[in-house]
Amino acid sequence: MTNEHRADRRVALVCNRFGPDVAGGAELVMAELGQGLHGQGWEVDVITSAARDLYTWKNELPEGTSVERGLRVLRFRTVLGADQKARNRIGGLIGAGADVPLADQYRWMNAGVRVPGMHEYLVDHASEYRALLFAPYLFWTTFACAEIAPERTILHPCLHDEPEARLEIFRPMFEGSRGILFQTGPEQDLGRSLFTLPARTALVGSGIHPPAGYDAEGFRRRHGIEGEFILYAGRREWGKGWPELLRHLEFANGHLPRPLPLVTCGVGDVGAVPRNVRVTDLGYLSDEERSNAMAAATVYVQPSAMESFSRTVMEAWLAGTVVVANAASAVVAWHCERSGAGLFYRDRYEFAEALRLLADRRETRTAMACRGREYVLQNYRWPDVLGRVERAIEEWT
Amino acid sequence: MRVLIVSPYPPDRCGIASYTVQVAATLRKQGHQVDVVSPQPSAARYSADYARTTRGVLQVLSLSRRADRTLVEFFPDLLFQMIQRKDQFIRQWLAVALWFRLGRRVELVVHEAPYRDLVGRTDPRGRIARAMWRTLLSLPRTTYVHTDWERRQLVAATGMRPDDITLLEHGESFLVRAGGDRERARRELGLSPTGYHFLSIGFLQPHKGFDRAIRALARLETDGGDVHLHVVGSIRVHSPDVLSHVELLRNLAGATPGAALHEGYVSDELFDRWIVACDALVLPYRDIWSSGVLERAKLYGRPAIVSDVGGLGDQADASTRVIHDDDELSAAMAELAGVPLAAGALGHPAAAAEVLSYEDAMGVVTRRAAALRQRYEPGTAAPERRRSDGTRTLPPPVVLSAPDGRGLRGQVKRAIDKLTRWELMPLVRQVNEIREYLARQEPGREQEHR
Repeated sequence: MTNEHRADRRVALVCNRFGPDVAGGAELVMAELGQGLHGQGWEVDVITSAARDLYTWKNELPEGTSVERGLRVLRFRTVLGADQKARNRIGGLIGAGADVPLADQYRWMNAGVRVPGMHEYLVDHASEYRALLFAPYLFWTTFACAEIAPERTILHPCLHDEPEARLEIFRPMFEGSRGILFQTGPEQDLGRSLFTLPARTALVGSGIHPPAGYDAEGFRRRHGIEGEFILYAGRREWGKGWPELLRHLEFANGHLPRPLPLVTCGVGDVGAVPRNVRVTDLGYLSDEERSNAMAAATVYVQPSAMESFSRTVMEAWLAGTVVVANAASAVVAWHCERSGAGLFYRDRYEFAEALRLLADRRETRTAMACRGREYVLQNYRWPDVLGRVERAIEEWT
Repeated sequence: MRVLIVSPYPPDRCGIASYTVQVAATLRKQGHQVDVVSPQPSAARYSADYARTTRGVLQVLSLSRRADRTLVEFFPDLLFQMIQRKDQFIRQWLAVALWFRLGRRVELVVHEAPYRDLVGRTDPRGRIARAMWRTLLSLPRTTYVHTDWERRQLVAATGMRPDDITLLEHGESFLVRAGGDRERARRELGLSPTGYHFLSIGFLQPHKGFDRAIRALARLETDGGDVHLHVVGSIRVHSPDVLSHVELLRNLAGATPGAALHEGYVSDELFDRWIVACDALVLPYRDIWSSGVLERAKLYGRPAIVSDVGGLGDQADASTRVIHDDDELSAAMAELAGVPLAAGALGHPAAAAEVLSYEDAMGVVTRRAAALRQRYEPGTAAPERRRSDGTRTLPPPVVLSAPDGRGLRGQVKRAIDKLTRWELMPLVRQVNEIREYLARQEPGREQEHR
């Protein structure tokens, strides 16, 4: 491929899913980056799949080219591997930290969802873009396509400290890309500890849009929620710490003066709920209503150990709500320590005591929440993040 | 025209997969509709298990019938992987022959063939094997190889007529992947802008002979001058012989002024950037069929020093120096860099730095024996040590059988067995799954092309 067709201000954002109702932190970041860069005068193509749902990967959105909010979106058909049994078996071994051979790592990756049309498009057209931004690292779309034109590939990995990150198959992508954008210091440290990173890396953070206002009371009224509650927004799955949250809350509710109900929004099965835990599942909420939920909550909980940025924690702080988070996530613990706006726990006992302290001490809670809002506004406003991303693209490509 | 390519494909990181991407892109640029069918799920539009099953081969035949042209990027494992039983092989052979006969305009690009296993075989089994390969490779409309050496090998191994084998320019579909000039490439790689830079690049493996290049550099009289050798690459297979070889390279590079080992993943673009940055490539391979690296050197107009193995002599152009031993290698490097050979250079610290491990010593013995064998019995190989399929080194599967014993004692045992079996079965299943998993681990496939 040559550089002769390269457009100076044309970039492609490559992600596994894209659309107004697609859930996922990395997907939201890509959507925001696309809009932001477009607003700065960049010609932005979004190269993605026709899937909406992370679990089924059904081709629900129309394949082909469309224009959505000023962005040219190219959607390609997903293909799901036939041998899910092998994928699950190998995935289980990877999750358990086993030393899985390279051939099986490839088999595991290729047995998942693939988007061959996207690969073909990029082989033929990568040279027409100044830069290709890929996110997140764990999906086939990034794994397979980031190697096509590494000289113009900028990785936005959303890296988590998880067994998969240690797989050898990801080494070429991290070590061969033109540059890497990290969202937090711990994510960058993790990247450095796992790979020999390229010289060009930048800590760009991620951006949050402060809502125009919050309607906490309206939220309570609309959903029939009264009194104090803790909130979790996100995917309800093992990888996000959902089952552990329920177990910890079961324990905590057995020790708190007043059991705290849990309100949740997002996708995934709630599953079996302990008897002393009341869970209200609101399903998928709009951004605005999720912000209202954040403002209405007494405490926002982040049980996930595998966060690369944790947008919901930022949203909670922005809404003036204190956070209790799993200390196993170096990223969230880093945010909590830097901001002084969140407590983190290493086990169910610390979890229960963190809730007890925040429930008992309203002033402490409020002071911490204020610090959280300041922290987000100082560090993670979209215009600042966009400026850093633009600088990286201009300097590196 | 609708073209079907049968080949491994990315994200599989083998050289043939990388080659096929370039072939497919070139054909698409020419206006053809290109579909690739890979032996395992990949970025290709289709996948079918044709490497192991006749069903997969018949699926490819069906796709081939819908195409106007079928290109097969052939090496034996592509169609006969892990097939060890004779009846399996015959079934697979028949299916492949049917496909080659009935597929649409089937063209075979032979990257590797079982030359050494077939040359000189006069026993009945050998004759049958030669005839089967000859028939199979003659069935396609065209059978291509990249070099005349490969054509001669194929003729010697199978008895095919030379006229039935067509030469295909190796670099015909190669695409330029790195822009810019030498100065910029050197700046980006942190190399001195003025010196003379040799480059040995590729996966770090004993048969690449990069250690020979470092030793040859040590024999140059550089007077601390600006002559460098960069050995660039990563470990593809973490086998003991490769790891000890890389350790050897580290020692040699550390002890030889001007030599540097740049270990790490090399993307396609970075690969080409190194080529752009260098003055000449040094590829003193001990064993290889043909070299994609040499083609890429030609693509960027960089001279290369190559050893006279496999088809490299045929691949060489006017700018390529073909060497036959280490003395010629040193002389060629000295000539290109414009420096003299050092007197008594064999006593250089680089040689003293080398402490051979047991694996290294075995590697040297094996390699030297191979060279000697080639001199006296060209085209033959040492008897192959049979690869374990995993099951041989594993204990047998766990099977819960009913306890034996007569009378009351036996009855009690069997009763206890019935009562506790439901608890044991999940454990047994798990143990057997782990065992099956280990048994299925495949040896990594290595390809030399890039």
